[in-house]
Amino acid sequence: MNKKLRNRSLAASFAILLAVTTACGNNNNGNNGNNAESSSTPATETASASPAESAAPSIDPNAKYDPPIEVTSVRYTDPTYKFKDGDTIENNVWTRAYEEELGIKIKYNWIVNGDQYGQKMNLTITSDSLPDIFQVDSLQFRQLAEAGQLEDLTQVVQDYGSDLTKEMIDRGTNAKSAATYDGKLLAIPPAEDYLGGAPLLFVRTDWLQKLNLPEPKTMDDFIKIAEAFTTQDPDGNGKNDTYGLAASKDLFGGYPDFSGLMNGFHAYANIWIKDASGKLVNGSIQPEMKNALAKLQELYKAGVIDKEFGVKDGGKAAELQTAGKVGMSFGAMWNPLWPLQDGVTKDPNAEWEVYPIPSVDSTPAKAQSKADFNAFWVVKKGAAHPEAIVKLFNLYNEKIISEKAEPARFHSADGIEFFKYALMQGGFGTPQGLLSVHKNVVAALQAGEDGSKLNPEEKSYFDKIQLFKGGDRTNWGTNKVFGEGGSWAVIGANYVDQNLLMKSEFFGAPTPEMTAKQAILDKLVLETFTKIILGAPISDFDKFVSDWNKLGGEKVTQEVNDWYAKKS
Amino acid sequence: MIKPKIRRQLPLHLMVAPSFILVLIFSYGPIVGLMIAFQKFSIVKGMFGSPFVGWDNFDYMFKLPEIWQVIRNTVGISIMKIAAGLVVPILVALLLNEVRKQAFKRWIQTMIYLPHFLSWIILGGVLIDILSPTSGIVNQFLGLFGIEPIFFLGNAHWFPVVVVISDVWKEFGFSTIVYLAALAGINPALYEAAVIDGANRWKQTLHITLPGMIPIIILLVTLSLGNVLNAGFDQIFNLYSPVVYESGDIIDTLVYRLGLEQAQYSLATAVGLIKSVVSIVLISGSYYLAYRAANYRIF
Repeated sequence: MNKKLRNRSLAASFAILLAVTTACGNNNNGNNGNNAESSSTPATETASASPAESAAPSIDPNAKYDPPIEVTSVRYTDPTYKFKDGDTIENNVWTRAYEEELGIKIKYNWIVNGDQYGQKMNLTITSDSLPDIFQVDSLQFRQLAEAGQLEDLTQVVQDYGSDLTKEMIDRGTNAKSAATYDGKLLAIPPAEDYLGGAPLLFVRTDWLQKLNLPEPKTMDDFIKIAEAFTTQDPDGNGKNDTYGLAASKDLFGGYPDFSGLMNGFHAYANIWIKDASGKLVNGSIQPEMKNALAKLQELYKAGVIDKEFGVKDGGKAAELQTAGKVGMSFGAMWNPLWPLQDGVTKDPNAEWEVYPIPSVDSTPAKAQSKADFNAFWVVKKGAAHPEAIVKLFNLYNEKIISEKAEPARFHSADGIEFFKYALMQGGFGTPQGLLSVHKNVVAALQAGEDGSKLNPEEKSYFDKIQLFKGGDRTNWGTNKVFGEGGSWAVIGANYVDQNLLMKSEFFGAPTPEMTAKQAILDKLVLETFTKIILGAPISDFDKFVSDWNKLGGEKVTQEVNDWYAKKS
Repeated sequence: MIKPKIRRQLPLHLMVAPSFILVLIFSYGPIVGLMIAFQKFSIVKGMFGSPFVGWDNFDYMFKLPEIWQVIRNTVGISIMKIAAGLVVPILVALLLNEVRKQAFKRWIQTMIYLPHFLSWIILGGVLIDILSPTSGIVNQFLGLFGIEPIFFLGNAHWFPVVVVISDVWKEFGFSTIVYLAALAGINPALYEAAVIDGANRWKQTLHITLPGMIPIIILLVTLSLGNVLNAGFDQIFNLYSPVVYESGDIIDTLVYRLGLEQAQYSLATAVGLIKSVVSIVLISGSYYLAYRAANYRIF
């Protein structure tokens, strides 16, 4: 349970990170095409000429409702929501803007803490008391869509969406496809982020230098470094108490994450990839996985991996690593902020570098990544004003992302984050995502600017990086994520520019057989992989593959392929 | 005649009414919800709209490949827990009862009672550390006697043992207090009479103390039998790992992964229903036996 909590707080901080960057409409990046936004009445009149709307008089997407309409919704808050000047969640800069600029009054049927939202939403669905506009997860979305309880948004987005809104909806093809059911767009899709979870390799470079080792360019280099870190006493305390590679009982999950090492063997754990015949198959049961497991077993036997990793969760693994006992780990781009920062703060000599996944052969390794689309904004079937959701989203994009953004009024000031008050916020990011944040920050750093041209969020990273450069090691993590040579630099230069990303081809809601069998299959994967790493015969893998298929994997594969055929 | 009686008792009825209503609403009301165990429950269709599927959920559960192993683990662990959780507190209570120095007795009582207040989330982390084969204090102690380090939490044979011992360690202080209370209730005159008859300490324990404790022992055993299918979710959830699934995975952890993480409410309800039925059978059975064998009635 503590692991779950930690994951949740990680997820939360990452969500905040994402949300914080929503204002990165980068003023430097002038050609977003949103200059046509809102003032383009002629364009919308063309849109309104579509047959479905021909009977209606021309649609003005910017028209204010007069008299004002009331839209019901539900939402979550959390203790990070702060207010000033007597504002409340029901009366703040956003609700006033909704009323003054759009003529929309939001009425919340209920407001709960973030961690109770899913359950409360289930209850609301069950008791048939849906509000007009609300957010659901992927399973709820599929169930509501199947039951025909959601309004089709295809036309209202066409008619009322600003150019920026359309760009935000269209930028992620997979996210949009996940929000589509039966050819109808039933939700405003979340951001599509395939980069934030891609595995990277983190290496203690002060140990590398001490032992005179090369950088890990290939899997062989990696193995040599791992063994040297284990046996050659890199921390110099005269005891054989260091490990080459971090590991936890969960094997995967952002930190420490074995999927990075598996990717080096062209094996992809738990994601759906295309095989030679074009069918989707699960990466965990492919023959390449056997090689990766055999290598992990070897590393475990050699003492490179903590003998006790099988009972330690990520938090326990992090304790070992931040105590300066572990020299390498695979994990997602945020790892420098947690857990590496803790170790760097404690030990003035500790220095980590970020590397792309090393490959076992001449084919470059592809980093696996999966985008979970789990936040859909939907409208109840039969709501009086389905277009309100589009208008609200227009306003959000205009005030936060567009050229005309007013961050000091709508985003944040003096540590109070106004953007959180907006009904639809968080998880949308920008059309360009965090990679562009990194690029803008680095550009400003290299040009020697004072960062005043950056938006408030980029500026906050910029300032932290400046502090780090001034010798403040508590801001090391921010520099290692967003600064030069950091996580995003490696992701950009390798995974994006050289197209070395292996995306999971499946991104729909869980299929029926998945819902029924995923827990059993997960258990089988974890149990088998752990036992093989701990020394069970590698031939167990073949039995595992047939078990996996028998226990429901075959049927899941069939359903995933049916989904894929239907999608394309 | 009847009316005045009702009037006289009215305040009492009013006082009991709130709890009566609460029990009705929160304990009896939700029983209706058990019907989703027989449905293919969908949150969109709701409790009254979801299609009935008869025994499908139960059928599905008993056809899970690991179900029998999981049931075996659950029953095994909980029976060991019940047995150890019965013997240890009685012994400790008897021993404490012989302690003459009140201050010392209180001190011991408080010390053994303390772990009861710690949650398994905290104790899980502590146990992983003290049982570690490389740095844990237990294995370092064993090492003094030349015993090879044992990977207690990563070894399928040791895992249930660790679970039982740590549970007893955490909870025996609590049960000890209950037994001490029972001991305090024994009439001192009986001991005086026994001493006059020439009974030594051991004979006194055997013929006065233990028989005096029988009612409370029977009560606690009867109640704990209802827990045969509860092997302690929070404890095992915080200690187990894929390495020890074969001996440590219990019904509750399986249902957690299956029912809650995957939102299969029908299945989770079906399992809960089975557990309740088994509990009620065991409790009424043991109550009947206690009545027949010891002529003891709780109610």
